[in-house]
Order: sequence, then structure tokens, then C-alpha cells
Amino acid sequence: MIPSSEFVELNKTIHDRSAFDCGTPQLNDFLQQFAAKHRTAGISMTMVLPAKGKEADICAYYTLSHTEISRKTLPKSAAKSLPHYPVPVLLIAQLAVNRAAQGQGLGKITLIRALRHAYAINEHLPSYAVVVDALDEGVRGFYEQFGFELLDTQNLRMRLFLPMKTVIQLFV
Amino acid sequence: MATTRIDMRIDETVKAAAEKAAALEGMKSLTDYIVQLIEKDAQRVIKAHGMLVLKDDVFDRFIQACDAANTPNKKLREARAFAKRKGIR
Repeated sequence: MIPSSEFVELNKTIHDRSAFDCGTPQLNDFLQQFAAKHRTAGISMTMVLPAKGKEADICAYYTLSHTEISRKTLPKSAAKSLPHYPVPVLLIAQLAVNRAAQGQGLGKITLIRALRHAYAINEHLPSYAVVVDALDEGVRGFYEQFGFELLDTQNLRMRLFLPMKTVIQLFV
Repeated sequence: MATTRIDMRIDETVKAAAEKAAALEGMKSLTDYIVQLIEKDAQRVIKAHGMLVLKDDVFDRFIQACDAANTPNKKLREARAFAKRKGIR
């Protein structure tokens, strides 16, 4: 499966979501059942990379959403230098490459595309960081090699982050 | 407020339990009971998904890391150059 040259927003009348298989059921299910609904509900936005010459086939996809990170308790007055919170962050909620398109570096390309998207949104709606969900240690390793750091582990789900200032330096 | 309809099928025993619960709560109808349940739970779910709460020290380290902001590492810069070469926008 050869990718086309441009990510486009998921359109369920064009893109065949049921044929997408990245090897991780949760990521297949999200694309098939929730991605379009979450867009309609204003929760998140999903971008797909169609195959060259066959735009129904999806080579890779990512989903971005906006969320907030909060501190459990108010800081004491001594910690005035801390920002008001919750602080906004951009979340790469999902990122996956079709099995039929793996081995071409599309994971890297999709991550860079998602970071560029986050960078563009940040121009209008500033965020502290880009946060990602990692479903297992393999995925965690994928993000850590690019400088993402562990934020926390909740309900067996790891979250990692990359400061927005780092993302800005990547694209200026 | 404008209203709309939800059509739903429900297990008979669940419906019987819901009718009983609605009566016990002093609700005028089963609909009133279900509507207030949805209102309450939807707010809870939306709040739980829209916010990540961190322990104080974890939050403070996160903010410090964001302020310090390392430059992009070699792998990340290489990935960007790779994406550029491949010409995928």
C-alpha cells in the first residue's frame, strides 16, 4: 500500500474505515466506531492518509483533541511562579499505521504531521505541551526515542509529553 | 428548550426496576427519571474525559519541563527531515 501525498480529514462517505487494520484492536475500533462520532460531538478531529490511486484505503491516521491538565491541590503562595491552571494541552489521542503500509516510516511521518498540526493550532490556541497516550511499552519506546517524557501512568495507560516550546523549535 | 426523541429498546426486567426506582425517587414518570440520570452522568463523563488531574509534584515537574523546553533531539529532527523528503503534507 503506497501512500498519497496529503493527509485529509476523515470523511466516512469516502474512506473505508472497516478495512483498516493496524494490528491493535483498540485503534481499529476507534477509527471504525468513534472517530466520526467524536468529530460531530466536537471532541476530536481525525486526519487520514489515503492510499495513492485508491482514496478509500487508509494508510495511516491520527486523532487530535484538546484537553486540560490540573494540579490536585492549590499551590501555596510561595509557588506563585506556577501558572494558573488547569493548563491546556493538545492530545494525540490515537496514531496508527495500516499493516499493509507498515515498513515505510509512516509512523514517523504521521507523528511529524500530528506535531505540525499541533504547532498550527498552538498559533491560535496556545498549549503547554503535546500529550500522547501509549497503550504498551513498545509504543512508549516509539515516543521516547523522539524526546517524549513520561507524564504519568493511570489505569495501566501511560501518558507522555513533549513541551510545546520544543515542538515550536522543530518547525521554526 | 427545544426537545428531541430517543428511541430505545430495553430489557423488561431493567424497565421494571427503573419504574420502581423512579417511583421511589418521587419522579413523575420513567422519562423524567431517565432524563435526570443522563444529565447527571453525561456531565460526570464529560468532566472525567476532559481533564487530567496530576499529583502536585508530578504537575510541578511537568510545568518546569515545559518551561525549560529541551531543543528537539536528533531523532526528532531526523524524522522531520525524513517526512520532508517523502513529501507527505
